[in-house]
Amino acid sequence: MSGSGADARAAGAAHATFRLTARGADPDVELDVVDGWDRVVAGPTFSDLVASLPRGPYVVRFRLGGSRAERPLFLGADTVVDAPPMARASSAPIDGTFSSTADQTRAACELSQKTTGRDVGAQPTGRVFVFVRTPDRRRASVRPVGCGLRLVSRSGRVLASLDGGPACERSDVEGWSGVSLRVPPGQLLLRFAGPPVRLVPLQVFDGWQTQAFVLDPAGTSAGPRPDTLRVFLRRDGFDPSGQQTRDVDRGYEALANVGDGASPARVPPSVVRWLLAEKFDDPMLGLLGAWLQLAVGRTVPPYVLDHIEALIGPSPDVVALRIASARRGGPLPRSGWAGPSDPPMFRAGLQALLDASVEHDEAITDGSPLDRLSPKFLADLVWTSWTEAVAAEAVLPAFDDLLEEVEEEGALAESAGTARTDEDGPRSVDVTGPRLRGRSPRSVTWVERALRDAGVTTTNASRADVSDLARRLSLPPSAVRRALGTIRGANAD
Amino acid sequence: MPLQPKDWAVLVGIQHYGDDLGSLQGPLDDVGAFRTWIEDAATGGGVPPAQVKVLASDGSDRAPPLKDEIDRAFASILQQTAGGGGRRLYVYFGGHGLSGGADATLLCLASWSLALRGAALNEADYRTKLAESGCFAEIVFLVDACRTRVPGAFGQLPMFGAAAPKPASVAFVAQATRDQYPAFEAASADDRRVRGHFTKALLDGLRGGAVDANHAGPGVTADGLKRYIEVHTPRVAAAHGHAQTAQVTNGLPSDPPTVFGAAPAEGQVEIVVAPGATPGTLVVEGAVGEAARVSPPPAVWSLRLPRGTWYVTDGADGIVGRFRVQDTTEVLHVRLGS
Repeated sequence: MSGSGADARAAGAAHATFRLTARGADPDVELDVVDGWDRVVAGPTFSDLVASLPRGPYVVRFRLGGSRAERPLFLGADTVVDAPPMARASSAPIDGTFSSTADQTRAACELSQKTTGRDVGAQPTGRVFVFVRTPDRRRASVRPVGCGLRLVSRSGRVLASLDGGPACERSDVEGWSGVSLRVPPGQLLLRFAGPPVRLVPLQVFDGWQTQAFVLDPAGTSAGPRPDTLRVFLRRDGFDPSGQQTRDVDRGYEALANVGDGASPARVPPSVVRWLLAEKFDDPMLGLLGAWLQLAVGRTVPPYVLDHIEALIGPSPDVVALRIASARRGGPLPRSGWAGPSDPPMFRAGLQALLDASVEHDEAITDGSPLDRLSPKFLADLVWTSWTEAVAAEAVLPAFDDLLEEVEEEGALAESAGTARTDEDGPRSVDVTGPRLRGRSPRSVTWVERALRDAGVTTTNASRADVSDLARRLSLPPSAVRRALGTIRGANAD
Repeated sequence: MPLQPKDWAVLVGIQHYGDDLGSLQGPLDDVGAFRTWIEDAATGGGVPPAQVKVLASDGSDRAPPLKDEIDRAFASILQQTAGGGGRRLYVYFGGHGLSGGADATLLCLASWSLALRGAALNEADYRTKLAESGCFAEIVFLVDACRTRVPGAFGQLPMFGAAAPKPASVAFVAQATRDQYPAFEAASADDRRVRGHFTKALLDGLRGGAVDANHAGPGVTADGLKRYIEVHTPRVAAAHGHAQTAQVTNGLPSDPPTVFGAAPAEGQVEIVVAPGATPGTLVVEGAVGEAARVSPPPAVWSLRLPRGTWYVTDGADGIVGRFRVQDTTEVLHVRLGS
């Protein structure tokens, strides 16, 4: 050692380390530590963190759901840092979320426990509740809350417009709009005005209320944001303070941020806890937990799949989950390999079906709505979604040309008569594109363009590797075969 | 930094799109801001203005810039730097993007639509062709665009290329977000102009925010810039209620460090001490350790400090203040005890 005593002390201090303890106050808080050179020197981990670090400036970063908080500090002694109060970001006005108000929470609870319009169909044993709210009422709104968002039947009928109408209740002062209806079990659609125009399936189950929450930023010309959609399944109305409601909300955040192959350590412990405890009575919690397990490379215990199916039946999401689980080494679906005809709500389920269809044609039935919609799917949400047809695309038949009506026709007509319609607009929207009868000038689809880009020509189309092309384009083989058939027939035209 | 006569840049800003994607508000301003930095010969990139090619959308039916125009800009640069005549090529893109796989972004042209899913540039292919051209030692790709996935979307190959690939140059590739995630833009608190979060973090880092324990000189290192972008893009996004994680791959040499621009190594700081509000001793301490100490403190304490985060203590671990020396082109005023 050399130099003065002060220098020696300084040198010793420079090499000393101190204990930094950071506490998240919530088991799902993710935290790490960044030093003065912007290097992550500890974490990330959940809940609590202990690190031994040299003297200097640091920032402890906390993340909970969509919220972030930071605590800068100078570490010159053993230090304990607690996370500041953190509120989650959610479109659902759950207690403790930072952007919701008591008025919005109260309105969501009240609306979800009543109906705002006439019953749809002869046997409306399911319920649907859609609630749109603005996160910041202080900002001047340039348009009504919920502008352009509609609840649509599969036949394309507008059941309710969230920007007004008889089936809708709203408060511009409090910044919300809601619809609550009794409907038959089956699939409805949420239509976002876009761009692009986007349709998201909402599955309704016998004895359950499907609750959909969407944020609509005020003061902007953009409409309700589909990426904020949260869906809950409840038997008895919206529960803003329930633990399972909060856990489902956390599950969405995790599913949106956990990509395939992510570390299991990135899944919030609370979601896994519910799943493994086999005590969940919220089917959405089960679906979310199962998809999260699969996303991080784990398997889903058979009893979890059985329990979900016992709660909501063999819906498209349950069937997709069984097939995805089977491809990971789990048990085969009891009903064989027949996939659903309708798209599942979860995009992970849709992707599982598309992947499985490359090896098993049965996963997506040739000509089913799921098959016919496959070229239109978008892949940027937790949810399955697709665009409406655009002029240059091939024309697809509407849902009701392919399927039997879910709704009883007379009741539907009555419902449509009560729904708000724009004065200059139609009473229904086409959910899959314009319906043209007879022969019309044919447009080249993007699938055909992509196949030609991959080197497919009229002369070699019959020798194309369908499975490989389907895998590369994220399409079922049936959709690829159709396009190949079109290319092969191009000469004949 | 003096002019870098062997550096070139291609800046593409596409703000105007059709209904399937919707127009953006920030790319043209982002390109303008990046151009200001890259042409700044005093503290910025020092690229001669004649060697900065800017291609921007204008909302017209012709939907510029066309792929042909972009490729011609690159081809022209490659012709003028043939045989290794270039040192560094910067490529900046601001606009809509789509996932092109784990390491690439499809850069959407103004004409992109669901019917024209291939109206995009495959950034990875462009990067490869440029790296194999043998014209530049370093390639810097900066992409402020989403990486969400639309099934069936695909990107176009560049039309230029070397007759025979040369040994690939090294590259620094910064993407605004992770694969299959969106990137965002929002109005800046400073001037209310809409900016991409990634570009804001990028420029803050280039102007002096990025620090590196292994580099005391002017400019910011590639290592430091990578860390700054990764740490601060989420911070900028969070301030606007967005979640966004940038992804940076740095293949540039670290020893000696690769340096961008010439942001001064130190900044002038004036610490104003309120009368009677502070203890008898003040110590300024940061990641490099103690930088200055004064006893008793004057009313105005002027000092030059390296870039980075600094704490003012009372000499006994009591924290009196905290500040960051970042944009070293201006004097930083710090008030204590008021």
